[in-house]
Amino acid sequence: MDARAKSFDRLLGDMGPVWRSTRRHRAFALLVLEVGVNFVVIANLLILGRWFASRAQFSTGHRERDLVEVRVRRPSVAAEPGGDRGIPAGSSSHAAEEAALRVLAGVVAVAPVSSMQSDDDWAIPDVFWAEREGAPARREPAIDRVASPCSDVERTPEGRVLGWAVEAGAALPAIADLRFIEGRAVAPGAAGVVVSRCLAQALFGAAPAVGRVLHMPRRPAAPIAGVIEDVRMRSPLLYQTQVTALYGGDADDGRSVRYLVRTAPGAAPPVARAARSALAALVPAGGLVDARVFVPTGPRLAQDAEGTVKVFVAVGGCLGLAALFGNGTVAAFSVAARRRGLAIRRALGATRGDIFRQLWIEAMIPTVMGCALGLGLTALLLTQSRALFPGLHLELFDAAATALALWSTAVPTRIIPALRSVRLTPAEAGRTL
Amino acid sequence: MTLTETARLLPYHLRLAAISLRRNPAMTLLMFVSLALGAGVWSVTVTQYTRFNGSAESLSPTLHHVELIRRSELSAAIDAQQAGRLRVAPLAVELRALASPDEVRRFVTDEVPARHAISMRGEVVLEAPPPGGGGSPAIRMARFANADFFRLFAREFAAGGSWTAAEDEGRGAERGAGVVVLGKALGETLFPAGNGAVGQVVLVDGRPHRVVGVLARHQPLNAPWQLLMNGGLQDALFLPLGELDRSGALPYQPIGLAAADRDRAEPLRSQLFVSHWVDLPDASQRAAYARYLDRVFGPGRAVLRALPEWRRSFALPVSSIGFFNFIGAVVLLGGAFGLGRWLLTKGILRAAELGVLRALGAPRSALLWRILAEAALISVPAALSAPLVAAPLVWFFNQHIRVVDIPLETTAWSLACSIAAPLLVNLAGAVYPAGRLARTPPIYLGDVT
Repeated sequence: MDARAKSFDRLLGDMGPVWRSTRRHRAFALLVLEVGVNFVVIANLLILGRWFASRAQFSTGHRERDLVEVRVRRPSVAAEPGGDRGIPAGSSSHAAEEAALRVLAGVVAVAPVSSMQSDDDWAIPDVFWAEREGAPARREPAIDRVASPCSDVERTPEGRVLGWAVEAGAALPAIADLRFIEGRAVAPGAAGVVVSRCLAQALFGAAPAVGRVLHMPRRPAAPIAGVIEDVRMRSPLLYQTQVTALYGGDADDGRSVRYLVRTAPGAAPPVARAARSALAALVPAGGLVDARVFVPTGPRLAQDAEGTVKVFVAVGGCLGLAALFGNGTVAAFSVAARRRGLAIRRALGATRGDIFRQLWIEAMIPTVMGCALGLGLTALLLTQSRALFPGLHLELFDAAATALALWSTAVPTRIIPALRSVRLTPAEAGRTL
Repeated sequence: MTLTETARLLPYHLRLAAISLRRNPAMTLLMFVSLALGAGVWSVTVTQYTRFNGSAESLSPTLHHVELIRRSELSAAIDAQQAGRLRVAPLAVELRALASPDEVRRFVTDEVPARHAISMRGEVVLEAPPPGGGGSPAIRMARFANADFFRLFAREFAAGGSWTAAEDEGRGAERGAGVVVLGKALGETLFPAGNGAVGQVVLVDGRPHRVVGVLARHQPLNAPWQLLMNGGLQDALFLPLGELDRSGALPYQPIGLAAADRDRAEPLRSQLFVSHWVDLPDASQRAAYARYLDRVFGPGRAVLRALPEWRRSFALPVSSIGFFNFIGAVVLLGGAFGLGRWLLTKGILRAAELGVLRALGAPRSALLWRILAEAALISVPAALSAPLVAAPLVWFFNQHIRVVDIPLETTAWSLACSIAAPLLVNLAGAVYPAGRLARTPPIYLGDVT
């Protein structure tokens, strides 16, 4: 029998007495419970931290470099002498502004859009549905046919899908580098709509979407001309923010308009500055021009998600210290309480290694049991919390990292005072703390 | 041992407990810090929870909301999604509160004299003098409201007051003499350190407005006139209601229920979210107003709800805030288990001393109270320090999470919960070790000597 096998046998031999000794300890159940609830807290911080981090580091689905977002806010008509009340149509201003942007050095293309990432506020979604052309209206089956990548799509049993409608100029697909996976862009002047992959999938499953008719309350029914890979144009009040329908037409609401500007490589900062100057001359006093280089992590939603992760780290740090201090002080008393017993074992011939192994296993048993309990509770909690945080899931990393964190606060705090105590002589060790 | 005797011996138990804690000051300090950190984390979650679910300002229960029943594809889709989904819940509320300015005008009648709080959101470009304004214009969230809005919703003023009812029409702005009330946050930004905001002139959409008042408090997160629990911006400034229509200011987020004609303002304005509340102090007034609504809008189309009933009917589902609060409670539970284990281990180590106390005539209850007193001596300061530990975390939270621009603030209710819950949970955690150690048998004194 080699040395490794002997060592393993010895370990197994130790397990029985150690287990009996551990089980007899009155604080054992409390320790298991403590480790269990700490596991729940730390694991949930990790899982939620990962979830929020994914919100902070989202992909917009379009080419994010060399892009400038411009927002123009015109003053109210009544603010000008002789102006009428109400909201005017603004196409003439819009044309002048667009022309002023096109001639700037470094600008490749310009498209007016009705919304963009830097509209830094929640937005109200639209509702979409589809019916077969010529067929009477019917209820869609209540089976959710959405595949996993589109799992956050908010779809009613009646087949209504909450999403986001964007009015945009014809140049948008080229500017944003939208990738068509079916059909093509709407021809200039033609009626039609381009939908994102998740919207098409939510409405038609695996069936072709091009040629089908898309309905929504605010606009006339429109035939689907193409399907693009998902794109995020804003943060509407939805979990799945990439269910998008792009309509051609006027993106100007009369008082405000936004432009997406594609620039030559590296030219975005000077274009943003030049756009501010050029448009400021066109917008009367009381209006506002904002032009900024597109930053995917710029919107408040992304910054809040990142901030939440930072708060989790701060809270996790506090809890780590709390666990370390709590475990350390309990372990100090716990080992002191057993000094006499350890000293007797030493006097009867046990080596320091034997003592160390005994304490190691004793510390590991409640930690492992507590982790198992915590893992079960976390899995149970996950079934509930998934309704609040769609897509939330437990990964092996979360469980392993949590167990490691608990181990690093529980086991060393017990072993270190134990190692100090086994250095004592039997006579010295008999003294209580 | 009777309760009177226990109370009489309490100072004695406390003295023994204090001696026990002083024997290992470093260990006691570590346990205190451990409990205080856990309680601090709980305090942050409970502060957030009370902001989310609590009613920051007590409002009159005689305030009534009018809901016009209006079916639409969007409301049906939202309703289908609403169960358990906080994110769409405020939107559902807004859809149910949808009323056009024309409809709102019909809500007000001389037949039933009552005070109404009517308001609507809009975006304006604000330009203010330096230092806060710095001269650069910025888009701000404005609430167009009538003067009674401030009185009915008990909005307190740090300086000045609201405009008069005569100014509700907003004609002053046309003459270059508009009036504006600043919210607390904007008032502090534009005129820091109480720099005499009242009387100053700011430009709203390019037109001069005189500041007549600055609010004393931030907007509640769940204000009946605007639910912000999903995030968003509080009302930065307030303008007379009539000004929205007169100035052509940009209304905030029209809700698209039907195709709008872009050449005309009316279709857009018919889809606005108008917050309308009416104060009906007695039952006869309420009945008369309900009859009026039935006559004007058709039987059963307008639903009248008092504020408490409105809060129940428009109740929000369980939120992520509630989940974080639950995690905070689990943290407290972990602390209680830790304290229990600490007391039990210490008691086992000192079993001989407890045995001597028993041998000298101390009943079991005396040991029980002594252990509980020890737990109280460490739990009370730990619980009291929870708000102090939470303060830097709350500051950190406000620096990094701005899903709403309303800062997280400690309230009396959150302070009470921050202290009471850790104290009770820790004392509950001490009951088991106290009970176990109280059963320590008397010891033969020869064993000790």
